[in-house]
Amino acid sequence: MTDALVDFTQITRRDLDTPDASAYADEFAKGIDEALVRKISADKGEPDWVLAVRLKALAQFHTLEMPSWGPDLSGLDFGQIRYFATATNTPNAKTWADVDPTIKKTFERLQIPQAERALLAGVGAQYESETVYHSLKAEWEEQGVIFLDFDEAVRTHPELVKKHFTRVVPINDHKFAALHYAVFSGGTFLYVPSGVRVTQPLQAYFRMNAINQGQFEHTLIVVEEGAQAHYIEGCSAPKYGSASLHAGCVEVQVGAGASCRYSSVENWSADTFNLNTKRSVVQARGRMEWIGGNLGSGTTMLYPCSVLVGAEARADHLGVAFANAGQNQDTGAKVILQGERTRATVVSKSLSKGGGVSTYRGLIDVGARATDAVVNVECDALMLDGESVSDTIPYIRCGNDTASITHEASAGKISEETLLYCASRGLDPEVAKGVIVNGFLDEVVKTLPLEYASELNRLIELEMEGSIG
Amino acid sequence: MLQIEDLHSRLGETPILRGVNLRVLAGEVHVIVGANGSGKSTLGRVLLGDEQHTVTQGTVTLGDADLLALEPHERAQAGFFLSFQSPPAIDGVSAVDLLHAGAQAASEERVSHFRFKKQLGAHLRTVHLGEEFVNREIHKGASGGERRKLELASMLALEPKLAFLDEVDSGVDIDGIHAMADALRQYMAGGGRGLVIVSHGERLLDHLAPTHVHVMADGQLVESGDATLLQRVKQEGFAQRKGALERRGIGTVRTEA
Repeated sequence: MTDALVDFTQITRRDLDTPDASAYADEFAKGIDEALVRKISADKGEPDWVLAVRLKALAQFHTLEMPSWGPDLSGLDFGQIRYFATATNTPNAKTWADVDPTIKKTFERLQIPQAERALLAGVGAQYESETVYHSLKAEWEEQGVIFLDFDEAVRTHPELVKKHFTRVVPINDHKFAALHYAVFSGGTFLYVPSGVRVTQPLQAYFRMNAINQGQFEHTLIVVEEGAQAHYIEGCSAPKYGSASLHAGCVEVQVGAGASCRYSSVENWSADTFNLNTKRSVVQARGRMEWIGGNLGSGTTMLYPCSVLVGAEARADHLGVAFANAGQNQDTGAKVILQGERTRATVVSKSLSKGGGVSTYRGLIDVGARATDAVVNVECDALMLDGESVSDTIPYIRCGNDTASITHEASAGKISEETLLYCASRGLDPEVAKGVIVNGFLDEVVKTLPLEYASELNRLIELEMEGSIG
Repeated sequence: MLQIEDLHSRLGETPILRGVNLRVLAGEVHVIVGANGSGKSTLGRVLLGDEQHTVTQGTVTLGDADLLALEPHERAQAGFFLSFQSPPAIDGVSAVDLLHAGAQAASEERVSHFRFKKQLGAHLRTVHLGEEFVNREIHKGASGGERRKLELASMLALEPKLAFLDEVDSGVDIDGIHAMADALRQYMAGGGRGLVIVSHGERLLDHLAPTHVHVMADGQLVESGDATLLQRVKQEGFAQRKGALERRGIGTVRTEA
């Protein structure tokens, strides 16, 4: 058997798009109201302070306006989404043998147990609203690392969670953040104590299965002073032709001199509204890296944010977005530089094909105290045909004269001369486009661990199929 | 091996090639000289199948293949190689990855990436390029001379039957010229191969022994001969040569209106 080896490149579109049976979902109503919010909280046996957060957030959700900018969200009907559903009576298993066999099979198809054996320090697997499996290798547990399903962390480490929860992303941040806090379920709590360097990546995988499902996992990562962590997030959902909603929230705190790398490959189906909030606060000399691949999903709005509060804090944002037919990828980065000599790099690569719309939307905000801050932004867009669209919308606010900010943007198509040159070496146009796209993305893809780089390349390859019109 | 008969082409509405005839046999080295705008580079582009050029008449065969019926990549796979005067840089794509993809496409068997890379490294040494060019983004930030050397190394790596080299020697220093001549001799030594070199009659030709020399003017090969023709053209220049030909009534030399 070779199942100990992880090879994401074996994953096909069918593995991603095929749903499991979902009769369980019928037990859960669609739509959102206070009764639902109270029920979620009661099901989880949460302390009152968490319920209070939920109810406050629900009130904010009703008050806050839909975003007045960005992609069209009129196809999203809040009354048609199922906000909470569980598919199993045995959540949060510690071994794969205890996971419901159907669900286990799905994660095996997605290569998660294989990846865990081969290269990960720990894994969380969420199916609909609940974590079905969570584990951390003993060597990290012994060093005080906490890696738990978020619901379980609320139960077992209430003080630690309470101290950090909602501190990075406030509940009234925007309408979808408020919605998230009202109905959040599952997700990850990762705590790395001072000085502990977790050298292997930790991964969570989020799978939506039923039609019209919503997923609202909360990820809270605290990397204390001088510590190090690499967290990988993967996501997918099957295709139904009817809207589903993902409104996750990620809060990251990077302590002084600590470093955190957050890699994600989001590969929702074309039915999904992916309206996600990811933010990090970085202390002095700390470093945050956001590496993101956004594929799939009908509409994505995602702008990972780094707030550099301490002197010499640093953020690197590397993003790849692929908008295929019918897709709108509105992605980018926000960096708020507050400390002296803070530095940020943003590299965004977007691809559009078959009439897809790909937009880079970015904010660079240099505060008055951020003396000698340095920011470099590079946005490159590649359109694979004449009907596809690419847009760059950068906002720059600079409150300190000593800051150095560069912004480079390029947008274009693959030139006929380049294709002819590739042909002169024997490459047919389809192969040539694949090679050129891989090269275009190389700068970002090579920052991922090898297996995930292969996965992203494979997913791009699936998107590229039939690219010759 | 390569047989061109009465080849005519247009660029937009403008006729460029006006009846080219050329036969290259295995082991032959043909040199085409001619003034700027005489159609030398266009001939290479038409043989590759550049869509900007429309073939209006004529046939081209390479071995058994009807070249004009094939797509450009199929022509390359059938053994035709064209060097580009200004090859494009491709972001994030290394020379070895591009050329290996081409070699693989032309072969029915699996081409080992590892072995191909090693061979490409050796070919780069032959043309006096550092081995780092194997993995560097192809043509990115490279000088004109470096690009042309890499084109020759690419030719050695892909082992075409017929290589059409378009001014590979311009912008290359004297040491580079020696290296290029070595590369071309090595290529021909592979056997069963033919070479067509387009040049302004510069230094590279001093180091080669062309078997045939052709003068191109106004879209035709108006005069053909052995290596001694090269010397005569060098002394007289194209304009005089063309005048002399016209007076002698050789070729149907036309002048643009």
